[in-house]
Amino acid sequence: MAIQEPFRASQVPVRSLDARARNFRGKLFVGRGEHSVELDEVGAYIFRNIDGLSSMGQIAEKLAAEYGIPAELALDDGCEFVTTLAALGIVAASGPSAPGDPAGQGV
Amino acid sequence: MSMTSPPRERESVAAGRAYLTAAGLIPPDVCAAFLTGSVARGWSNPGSDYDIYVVSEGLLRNAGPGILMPLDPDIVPVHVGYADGRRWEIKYWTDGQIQQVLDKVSAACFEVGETGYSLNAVEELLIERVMTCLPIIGAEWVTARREDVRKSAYREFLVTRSLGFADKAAESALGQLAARDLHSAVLSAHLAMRHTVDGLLESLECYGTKTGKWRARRVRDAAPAVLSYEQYWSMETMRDLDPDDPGDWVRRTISWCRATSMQIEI
Repeated sequence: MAIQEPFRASQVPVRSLDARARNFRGKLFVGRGEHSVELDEVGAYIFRNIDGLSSMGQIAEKLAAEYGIPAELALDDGCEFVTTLAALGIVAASGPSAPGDPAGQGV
Repeated sequence: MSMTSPPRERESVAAGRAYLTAAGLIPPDVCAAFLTGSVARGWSNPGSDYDIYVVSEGLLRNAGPGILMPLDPDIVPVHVGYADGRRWEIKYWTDGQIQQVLDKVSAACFEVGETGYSLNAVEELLIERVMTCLPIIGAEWVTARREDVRKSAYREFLVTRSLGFADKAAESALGQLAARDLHSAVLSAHLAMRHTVDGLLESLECYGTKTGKWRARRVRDAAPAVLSYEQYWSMETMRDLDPDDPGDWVRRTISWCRATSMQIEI
């Protein structure tokens, strides 16, 4: 697994075009190449909300509202989860990063 | 076929019954006879054949040539005739053969990871036709077999196969795009779109993937919530493909395939 810079609130994640997804008996599986992972409910919620337009901060806001959890926790967990998917090449960062944000990596 | 069926269906069924009776094509141990294909689905045109499946307890003897099948008995006799300016094709299945076909797509087979390829094209078409036919004789038999299909993993096998094909075609498209083989990438992306649409339709129990000429009809009939007919037809005809930038169409099409496959529940 490649070393992956952690995602930041300002970054916009996009699903990789070469990432597969399957909705099997209510469970969402995503994969790329030889890697495939089963997402839990929260992971699936985040993945479904990656639309190439919403920033991690915006996705975290939705997550916090959906599950009634503190916004900061939603952002931390969301970024950690998306960073893991990015390390697998399943998502990448796109769009503007905050000025001086070292994690910016537009595609 | 009830008296509340649309007039077109009643007329088609009556014509089928009349043809079978007049030609002496109903075996004494018949379980069911049903009209299939475009006539049954309401998609026929003046040049369409009438396709009828007859199911009996035993194999019809002396019926002439047939289709060799990996079943026991290993032949499906076929009668072809012409009447009223139409071509009539009657396939004679046994009840046991149909049970064998259903066994190949049982839930147990799916659980152990067997693939949909265990059905050949004729068998796959058989099940589609049971699901969409107009009964002439033995409506109860048809109802019971449809219930058997719903309890089987036929749907899961087909959806899994179509989405697998879609993934492979998408990978090809992206590889060709990376290699700047743009026209090949367009064709691969188009294939990926078609496989994804097939998977979507199959997930809605709208079968018939093997007869691609009816894909537009199937989309219109199934009316998937995640795909409007207009969007489908735009992709099918590559309406917004820019000849100066085909890569953009490829990327948008693959993106749609990926997003849609995620919404198809297996």
